[in-house]
Amino acid sequence: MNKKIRRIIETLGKHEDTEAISVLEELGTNSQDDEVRELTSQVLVRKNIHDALKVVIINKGKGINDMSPVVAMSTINEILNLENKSEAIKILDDTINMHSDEEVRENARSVKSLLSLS
Amino acid sequence: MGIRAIGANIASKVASPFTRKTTSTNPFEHNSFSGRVFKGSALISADLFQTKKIKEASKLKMMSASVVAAVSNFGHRISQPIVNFAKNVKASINNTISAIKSVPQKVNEISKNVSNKISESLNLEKLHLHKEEAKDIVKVLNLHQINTKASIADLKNTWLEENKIEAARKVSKEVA
Repeated sequence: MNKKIRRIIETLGKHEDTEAISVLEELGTNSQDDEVRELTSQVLVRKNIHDALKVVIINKGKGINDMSPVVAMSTINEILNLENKSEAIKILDDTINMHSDEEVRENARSVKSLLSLS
Repeated sequence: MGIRAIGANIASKVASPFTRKTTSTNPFEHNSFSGRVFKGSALISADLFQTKKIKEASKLKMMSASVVAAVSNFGHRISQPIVNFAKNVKASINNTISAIKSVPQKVNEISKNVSNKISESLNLEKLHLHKEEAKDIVKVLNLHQINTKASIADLKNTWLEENKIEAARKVSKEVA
């Protein structure tokens, strides 16, 4: 991954403007580069706010639902490392109960099980 | 006819200058003005032979004259503020008329001011548009400029530019 792009992703992760989340979702999670998607997912989880966690939990093909196991496992690992997991658990519960896609619901159930074990 | 009789006739014919028929001081008493005799007094106050009643009447007339004068003076005192008020009203009317006459000039000034303000605002809008156009221009940040102080738009533009550069590199590698 380009050093400049890494710097941009990390900066957007620290940026207070909520518009940064939409930029990360638009350019980061849709990137063809696995490294970019991985770093973007990690940054979004570290933000630990509803809008950022929602991107990596409920969207098919992004975050824990990424086609790349490396990206998915990296995102799950980042969620497990959160100090305050309450917002992540809330989103996981909503996804398990209400999401229309079975695969997404299953992934959310697995992540929640890991969280309960940790 | 005796001398006495002649004398009596003469006496009846020639009036004695020393005989006084009346005690009136009116010089026009014996003058006839078409059958009317003036029996009044021309100078009442100067008549030394008038009675007390006449003098009292003259006093009353003098008093009444003084009262009339006082009243007229009082009226003058009352009338002065009215005159001043009228003058003030006249002055205010004149001022109003002059103000009304100057209204077109003021309207012209106001319209000029409004037009100036509109032109200024239009210029400001132009400047604002220039700023927006400047915003639309892609600003690619250096590695040192990429920080949380940078705007989201600039970061996004830089990211897109880097993606283009990366894509070009891949294409060049594949061609090579």
